[in-house]
Amino acid sequence: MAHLRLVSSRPTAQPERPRAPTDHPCLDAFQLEFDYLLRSLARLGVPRADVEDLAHEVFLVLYRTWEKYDPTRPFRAYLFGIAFRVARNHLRKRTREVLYPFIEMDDFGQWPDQLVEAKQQRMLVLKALEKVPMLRRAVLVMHDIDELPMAEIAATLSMHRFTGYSRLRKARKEFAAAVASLHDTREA
Amino acid sequence: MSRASSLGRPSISSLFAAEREIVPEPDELRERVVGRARASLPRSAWDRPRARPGRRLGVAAAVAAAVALVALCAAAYQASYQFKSRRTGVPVTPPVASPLVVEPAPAQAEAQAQLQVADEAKSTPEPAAAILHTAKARPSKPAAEAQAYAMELVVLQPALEAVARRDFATSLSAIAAHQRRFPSGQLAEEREGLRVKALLGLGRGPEAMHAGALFRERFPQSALLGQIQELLGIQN
Repeated sequence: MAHLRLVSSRPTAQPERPRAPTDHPCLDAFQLEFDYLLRSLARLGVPRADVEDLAHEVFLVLYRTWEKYDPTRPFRAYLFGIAFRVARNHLRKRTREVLYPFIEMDDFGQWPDQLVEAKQQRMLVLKALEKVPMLRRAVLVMHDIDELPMAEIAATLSMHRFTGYSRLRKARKEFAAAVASLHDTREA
Repeated sequence: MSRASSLGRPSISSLFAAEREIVPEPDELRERVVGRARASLPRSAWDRPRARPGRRLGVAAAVAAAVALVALCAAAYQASYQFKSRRTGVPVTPPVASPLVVEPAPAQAEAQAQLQVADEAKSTPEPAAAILHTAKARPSKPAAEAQAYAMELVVLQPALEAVARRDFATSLSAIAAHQRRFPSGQLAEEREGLRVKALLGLGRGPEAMHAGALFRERFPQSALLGQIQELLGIQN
C-alpha cells in the first residue's frame, strides 16, 4: 500500500488555498461565503434588520449539521438550503410581511449614474422576487441567479426534479410580470 | 425568458446578470456576525464530538463476554457428551456443528441420542476431515483480502494518476467510484487523502477543509495527516 501515498507533484501554480483557518472549518466556510449568504437571505425576502440574526442562526445550523455535509456537493447549494429553511421559518413567524426598505433613496445622490443604475436594478430584482412565492422563488434564485443544476436544487429543497422545473417555469413568469409591473409603476 | 421591452424595460437576463455579482457587505457587519459565530463555537478547531472511548470499551467488553459465554457453552456441551459416554460405555463422538436442534423429552432424548450417536459413529468416519475438506474449498481470508485489495487498486489508481497530472475533476470521479464500491475498503485512507488534494486543486476550499476534518477524525493516526494539514494550511 506504500506506493499509494499522495504524490507530491510539483505544480506550476499552487492550488488556491482557503482563507487562513480559524477555529473550525465550518467557520472558515461561513466566512468565505458570508456575502453570498447575506445576499441570499435578502433574495429570500428577509428584512435587512433581521439579516444579522438570521445569518447567525444559519451558522448554528451549519455547525450542527457540518457532519452531514457532503463535500462532493457545491457548498453554496448546501448553504442556500439552510438559509432557505431558516428564512422560511422566520417569515412564517411574522404576522405580516413588512416590505424591505432595500436601499435608501438618499444614497443615490452621491453615486455615479452607472452605479445608481446597477443598484436600482438590484433593488428591482429584490422587489420583483418578493412577488414570487417562497418555494418558487428559491428555485428561481438557485437556478437563474446562482446557476446551480436542477438536480442539485431538487436535492437541496427536497423535491422531485420535475417539480423543480415546473416551479421554475411558473416563477419565471411571475418574476417577469413583477418586473414589468414595477417598471411601469415607476415610469408612471 | 429574457424579454427586453422597447420602452427601456430591463431584460430579465440582464437583471439576473447584475444580481449575480455579490457586493461585499460592510466590514463591521461581517466582524459582528463572524464574532458571534466564533463565540458560539463550543471548543476549538477540529475538536468535534467523537465516539467516547468509554462506549468503545463497553462494546469490546460485551463482545469479549459473548465469546467467553459461547466457549463456556461449547465446553459444557462437550463435557456432557463425555459424561454420557462414560456412563453408557458406548464411545461417543460429539456431533459436528448442527444448525438447530430441537430437544425432545429427556427420557426419549437419552435413548434417541444413544441410537443416533451409535449410527453416526458408524456412518461418518471422520467429521473433522469433512470440516477440513469444506475449509479447503473456500479461499483463505488473506487471499480474499489480497483479491479485494487488487480490485480496489484498479478502481483508485486512475484517481492517483489524475491527481499527479493535476486533472482534479477526473480524479474526483474516480474517487467517487471507489467510494461507491468500497466505502470502507483498505484504500479508504488514501482515497480520502486524494479527495482533499483534488478539492483543493479545484479551488473548492471549504469542501477541502471539510474533507480534511473528516479525514482527521476518521484516520487520526494516519501518516498522511501531516501532509494534508500542510496542504490545508493548518498548524498543529
